[in-house]
Amino acid sequence: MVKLLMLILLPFLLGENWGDVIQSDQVATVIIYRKRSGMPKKIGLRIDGKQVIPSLKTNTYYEHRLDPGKVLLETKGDIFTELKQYSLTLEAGQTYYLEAVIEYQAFTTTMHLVRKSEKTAKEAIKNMKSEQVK
Amino acid sequence: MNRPYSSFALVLTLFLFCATSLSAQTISLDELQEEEIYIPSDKSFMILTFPLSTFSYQTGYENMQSRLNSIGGLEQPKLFEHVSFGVGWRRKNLFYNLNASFPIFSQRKEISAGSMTRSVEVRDGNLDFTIGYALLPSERFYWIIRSGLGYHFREMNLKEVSSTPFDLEDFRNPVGTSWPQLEHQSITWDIAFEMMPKAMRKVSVLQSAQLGYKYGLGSPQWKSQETTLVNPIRDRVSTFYLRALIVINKEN
Repeated sequence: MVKLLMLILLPFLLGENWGDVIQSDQVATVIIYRKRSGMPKKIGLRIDGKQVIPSLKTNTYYEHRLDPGKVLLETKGDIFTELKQYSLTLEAGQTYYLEAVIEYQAFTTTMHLVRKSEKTAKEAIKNMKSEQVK
Repeated sequence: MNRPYSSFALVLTLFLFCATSLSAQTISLDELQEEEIYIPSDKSFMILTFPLSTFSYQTGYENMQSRLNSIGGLEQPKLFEHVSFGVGWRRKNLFYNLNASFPIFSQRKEISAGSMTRSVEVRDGNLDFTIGYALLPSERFYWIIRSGLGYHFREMNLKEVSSTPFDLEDFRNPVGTSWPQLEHQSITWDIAFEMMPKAMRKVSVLQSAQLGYKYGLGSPQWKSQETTLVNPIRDRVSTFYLRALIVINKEN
């Protein structure tokens, strides 16, 4: 009886976050971060052809919720930036951590994405600014 | 000032751009890649080359300048553009570089006095060996302080030409005067600050920028291969430089 009562009251106790609890089981979360190191360079991220982050800022992490399935991630900037393409298979309820690493070569710049463990990524982002991606 | 390097740099840029943009393989992120990005090894070998230029600004050779002032205020050129090349080695955070810089074209200054034009043409070049140490810890860049010894030379030609007509049938009657070619050679001490990205591939093409200063060790005499100089003067080298190099880096 108590359990049933808690289940009924839970949506009222959580308020607006109730939707997130339900949604988090149905979507996957991708966290992309870029460390402070490096020079300012405008390189954006596209997912399945849609620009989701116009410019990955340093010392910032981005949280993006996506439907499960295979997604195509692309990093691209100006004409002196190498296009990089990555695939990632997402499962509902899972969180994926990607570090954006910038490589400077003569005349070209490359933004690599590197899959990181939860432990490594959480340590890296604990003092970073957070931005929500819609 | 002639700038043939600029067009070469543009062609190389376009080539590199095309080469890197032709294909983009899709990389799977379904597995963890903690060590996927290349970490520089302890040793590397570098070939340093143009087409990027080295610019230097001369603040030395003051005694020669005071002599030139006596013939109408002719000024030695101060700004030079060189091409540089060399080799380098890295062992952990220590860098060893052997570098040479040469002008392809001499720098010229002239003054006109009536029908006479007086000009000075100067060619500077140098060779240096420096040892550098990466000071600041950074994930993507080496921030290097360098010091070393070098050799610096200058060749100078002075002439005075009249605008009166010159008969090509009569080379026996020149319409001007030329002074002997003058030379100055000096050992220099070098200090520089350099920024270079860290390699993320076994072989990569990087870009390095150095801001430095060369100072003559002593004040050697001006000399001439063509004649004996009477009342020789001494001068000291003093030059600031900004050197940009393409670095072909191979991690060992």
